[in-house]
Amino acid sequence: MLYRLALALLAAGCHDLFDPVFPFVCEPVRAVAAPARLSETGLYAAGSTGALGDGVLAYRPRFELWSDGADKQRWLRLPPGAPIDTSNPDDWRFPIGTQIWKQFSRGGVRVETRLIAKRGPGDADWAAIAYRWDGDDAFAVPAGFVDANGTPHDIPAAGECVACHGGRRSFALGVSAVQLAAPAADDEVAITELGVMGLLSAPVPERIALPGDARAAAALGYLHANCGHCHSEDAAAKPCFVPDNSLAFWLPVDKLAAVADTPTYRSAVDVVITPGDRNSALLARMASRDDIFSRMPPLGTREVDAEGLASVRAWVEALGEQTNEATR
Amino acid sequence: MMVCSARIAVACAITGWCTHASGQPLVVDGSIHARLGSAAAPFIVESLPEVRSTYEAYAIIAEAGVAPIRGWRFGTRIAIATSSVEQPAGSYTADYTLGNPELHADRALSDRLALRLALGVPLARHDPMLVRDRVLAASDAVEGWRDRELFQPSMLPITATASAAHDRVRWSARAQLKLPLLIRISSTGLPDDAHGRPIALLPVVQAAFDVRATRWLRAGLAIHATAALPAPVAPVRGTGRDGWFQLGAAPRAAFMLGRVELGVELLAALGGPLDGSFGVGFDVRARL
Repeated sequence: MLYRLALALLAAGCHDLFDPVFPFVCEPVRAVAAPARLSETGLYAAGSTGALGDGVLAYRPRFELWSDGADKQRWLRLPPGAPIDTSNPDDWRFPIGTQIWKQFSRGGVRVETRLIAKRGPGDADWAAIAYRWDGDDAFAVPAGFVDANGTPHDIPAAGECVACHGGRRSFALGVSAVQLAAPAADDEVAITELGVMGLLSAPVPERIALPGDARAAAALGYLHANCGHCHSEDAAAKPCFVPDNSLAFWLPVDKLAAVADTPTYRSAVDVVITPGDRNSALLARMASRDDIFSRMPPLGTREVDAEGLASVRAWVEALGEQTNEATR
Repeated sequence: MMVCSARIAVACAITGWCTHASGQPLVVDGSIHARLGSAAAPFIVESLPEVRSTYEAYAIIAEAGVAPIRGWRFGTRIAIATSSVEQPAGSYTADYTLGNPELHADRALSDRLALRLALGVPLARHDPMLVRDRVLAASDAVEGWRDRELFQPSMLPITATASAAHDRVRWSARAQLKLPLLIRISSTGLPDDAHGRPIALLPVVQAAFDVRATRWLRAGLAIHATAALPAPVAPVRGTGRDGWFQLGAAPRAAFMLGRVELGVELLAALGGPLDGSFGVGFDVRARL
């Protein structure tokens, strides 16, 4: 209580009354021009909430965002005849009318489906809304929902979507060259399939290997997917809070020749990653869920991703072994 | 601070409850009170069953009055609610809004007893996005639900208050019973999964004791209990965070600087639906 009191007094002393002290502030979206029901968004065929609608393509990124263990499915739909502008491999630009959905299930039961939709020509012209499943359809919940459907799953408010998606100019975080440059599962699409369908404006490598051994690649990919949308070198990004931009975990396609070339290595090693130290600052913050000022990620998750943490920890320990070998 | 007789000025200065008028032909008084704290309060919808304002919850209450004739005082209170409320994914959204301004008349029955009748102006309204509702709820919570009539949206408050004070040279004791009756004037903006009641009664009982440590310093403790009979709004489906009875405690110190008093108070909820809420209050009171 004294700690919270100290923070409150700090807020009073150091900030304007109406300006929040807290950095993770997302303005509410007061007018969300989105259908009230998910079944009206085009994800499903008319009269169905099972069969996909025309032009809806399933995809899966190579490295997934941790969502407290929820099972996730993703779909993409582009307007007819309008490919993705892939001239910048690190930030694809999507045509007006693009829709991207992500569905969350807990214990095999659908809980939430999120929708982002491109509404205008600008990079920030995206609308975002979440739908909560209730029976045979899902309904828009612009203010979010806590403990949805009796599960520990929290549905974000519409304004909170920008907290992560606003961190990249592309807004669509999982639909990118690094994330889709891999073989696709049956009934899903990746770069190869999108290219064949003529949905990419410029050629994109069908395979993009991450540098280093399997441990390094897994850790770099995990940090890219879970940290890179906030901590990146993209100065034009506009998330709704101010992350520590001295760190960069987003992996640009042209900086993957070696582990030491990646922004992750250059910005974090010897800063928040001490090679060989399983208690490095980054790992401690990933393992914390107590305090929003120190835990990472700060938003959208209540539980530590033990598997993801282990993969980063394994890489940190391997970095120590490599450092020791180099000094012998 | 209300207008007070010299005899019970100590009680007035510390609690602001006194409604006695002095023999002066015209006395003007004013105060501003700002409380900053952390709030956790039950909320009115299943989707957001609790309001949390962990780092910034403010309630500002300004009061002014004039005593034109002996035994009577007429005044107003204006409340501003401003908070950063936590959203489901863990981010915060900040907003501020007016509460319900209040016009009141105080009648001193004796040096120890007084009555107040107050009429609120229902400016606070429901917000379809529920942001301002949550800001009001957070500010209401850091005030320990002592002044709920100031923070209830879309309700017309009519409040009757009886106060008593007993003073000695070194100490004083006070008691107060407040009966805010709230009448719904609109359900616009109220979500479908919240049930707005047409009438609510939110009684508050307070007791306080304070000592005069030095000529310029007073210290005391106030305890209050409040109930919702019933609450103005309730969730259609139970959220498991409902509650109708609340206790609170508020230790306080006040520094007297001539006609101006500076006070600091820590108000904490004692269990109940506001468990975990607390606020540090700072106030300035002056009498001319």
